[in-house]
Amino acid sequence: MKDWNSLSVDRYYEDLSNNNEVGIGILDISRDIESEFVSKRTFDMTYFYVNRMLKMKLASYVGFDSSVKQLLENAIQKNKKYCMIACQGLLLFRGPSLVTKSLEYAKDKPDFFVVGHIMDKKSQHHYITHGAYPGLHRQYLFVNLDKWTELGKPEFDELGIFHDRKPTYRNVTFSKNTVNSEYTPAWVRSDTGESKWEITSDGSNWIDLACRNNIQIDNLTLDMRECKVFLYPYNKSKSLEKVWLNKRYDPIVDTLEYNQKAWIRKLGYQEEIEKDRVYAFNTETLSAEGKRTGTIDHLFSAAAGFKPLAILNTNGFNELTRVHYFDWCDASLLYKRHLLETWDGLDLHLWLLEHDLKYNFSSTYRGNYESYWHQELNEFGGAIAFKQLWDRYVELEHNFYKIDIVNESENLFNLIQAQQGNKVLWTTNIWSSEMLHWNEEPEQLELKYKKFKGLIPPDLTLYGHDYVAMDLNESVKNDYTHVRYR
Amino acid sequence: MKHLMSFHKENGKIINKQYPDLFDVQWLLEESQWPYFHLSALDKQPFNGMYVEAENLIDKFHSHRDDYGHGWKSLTLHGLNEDTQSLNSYGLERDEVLKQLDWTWVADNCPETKKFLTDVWPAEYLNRVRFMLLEPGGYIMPHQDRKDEEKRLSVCNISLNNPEGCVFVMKDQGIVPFKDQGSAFLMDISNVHSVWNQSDKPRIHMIIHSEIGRRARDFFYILRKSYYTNKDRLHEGLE
Repeated sequence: MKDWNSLSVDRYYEDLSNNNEVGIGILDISRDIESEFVSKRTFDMTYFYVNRMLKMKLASYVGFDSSVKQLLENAIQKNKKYCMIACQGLLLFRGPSLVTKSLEYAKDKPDFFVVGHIMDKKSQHHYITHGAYPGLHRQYLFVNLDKWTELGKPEFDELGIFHDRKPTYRNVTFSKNTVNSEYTPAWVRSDTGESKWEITSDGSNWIDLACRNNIQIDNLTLDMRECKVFLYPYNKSKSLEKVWLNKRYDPIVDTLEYNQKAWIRKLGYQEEIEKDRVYAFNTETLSAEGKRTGTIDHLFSAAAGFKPLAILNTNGFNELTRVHYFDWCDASLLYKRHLLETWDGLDLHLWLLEHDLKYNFSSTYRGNYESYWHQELNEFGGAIAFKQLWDRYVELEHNFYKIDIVNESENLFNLIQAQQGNKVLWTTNIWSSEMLHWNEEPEQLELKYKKFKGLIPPDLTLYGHDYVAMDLNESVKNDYTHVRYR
Repeated sequence: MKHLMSFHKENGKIINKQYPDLFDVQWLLEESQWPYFHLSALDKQPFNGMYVEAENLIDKFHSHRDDYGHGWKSLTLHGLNEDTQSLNSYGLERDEVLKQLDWTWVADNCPETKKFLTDVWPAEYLNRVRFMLLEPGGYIMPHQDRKDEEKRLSVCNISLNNPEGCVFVMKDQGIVPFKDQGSAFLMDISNVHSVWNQSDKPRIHMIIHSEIGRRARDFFYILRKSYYTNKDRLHEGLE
């Protein structure tokens, strides 16, 4: 079970290799993007998803550069074995899975050079490069750095147009089977002979070089492709700019390229349903952060899942402990109150199913309530332990407040300041959520976060994440900031 | 002279083109039939510095095409030598000529110009690059450098200066609006064209023949940026 919508979490991922052998660089193609806004925001969002892999220690960031070669060199400097090149505008929403699959591929084929989108230009009716020597789409490359070094660290050539100095490239043969379209073969390898080419594609020289060294280049598998989406930010970028925020109602969405349209519509839909989205379970680990304080007098908590219960359980609470739920969404607060008033602490999946139509539960676990509930019970030590905990918890005083902590942080801290005793705050991943980051630039979020951070009293124990998905507890001690576009 | 005068009289007006809403590189270069295209993205390049470099070598220029020009001279920065003619005129295979192309001593004496050509000009390979001088009172008679059926924007002509009174006109296409402070234009030289410098100052342009190669995207970027800048300026009545 996985929840791909959350940045800061690791709870539902498979066990992932964390040898951190992969460098991730973002390819700067801003020159080709007409809209400065789209250029900046696609970088922000590409980094947003990259950050998830960094958080999980699956990879290290090696920079933002217009040269593939420079990014690969940076990865070598960081002692990486592989380098993933993600073009700005590539949204690696299942990036961790893509890293895992790529490492599995590398294990199976240790002598590989590069995995990428092979473009058979004879079959692709591109208006400039139709009929050109094949290439590798610059949106995504996964490079074996040892092999790249062995091949002489070649530049990744951009598309070329020649009259007098046509390059001579090795003839190629493609697999008969294709991955996604007729112009995306599963592999390309050398054929006999060579020819001169008037038009070459991005990465044509890598294909030629691989062929000259009898290396087959493989395309991404369908599984790999499904881990990401590319927004083609250089296409219709002015239109994309117009609908970046106005996702759902603007007729311009209809005029976008296929991938852009699909993504914007997905986000538009997501934005609508998030208005009353209810989180019965958490995407974060329940108590991985561990004990951070003694018996809690006041818990200020986002109204989501059982993490608040885990925090109380881990740190300790008594009958005088008060729980203060806040959320920007009425439905989450109503759900919490409803659960407290009507549920007996047993068989949550049945309660959820009974009230399934009343609440807009996350699709991640809708229909899988029982398996999620059993997972929850395991983490709380079984059904009896949970029931005992719930019975104590349900007797506590609970308060409910509608507060948007990003835009009204002072309202939250006014509440906190009004209470005495040992106080704990859990903000979940509110600051690092996908939709927030799509809608607001990190620079704006940083300002809002700094205001929030400035209001945190020194005696408040913290759980949750800041706007760069850093543990709040770390974030208040150090000045973390986001990676800048320029 | 009568022919020159009537050519300039008939064609001596600015004719602006309608810009379609969306930029399309292939349409612009090969299908638009536009006689010239202002590379306004390069407007801020140090053309005046390049002019000074060229002017310092003014006594080194070689007479050019005396058969249909007067006071027309050239000095080659990149080519076979400082007086490089059309690459097809040497009786050698083109590949052989291309292999011999290199910077001349002129480029070594013009560092700002050379820097523009190596760092800014969006082409992987340079062919022939020349300063072109038209002396005060000089003229180039109407001529065409390419056949009618080879219509496309290709060669780049940069005014390092363009004194008032010096006019570049194309048959049926009007004046090419070169700027005195410097301006770069892609030209379709299949159009019959003529230049007449009726000022009292030497006019120096630079003509670049090059091969885009793997810098196609850099070239497209300059075209796109120029396209929308030109379009906005036209809309504002500034072009």
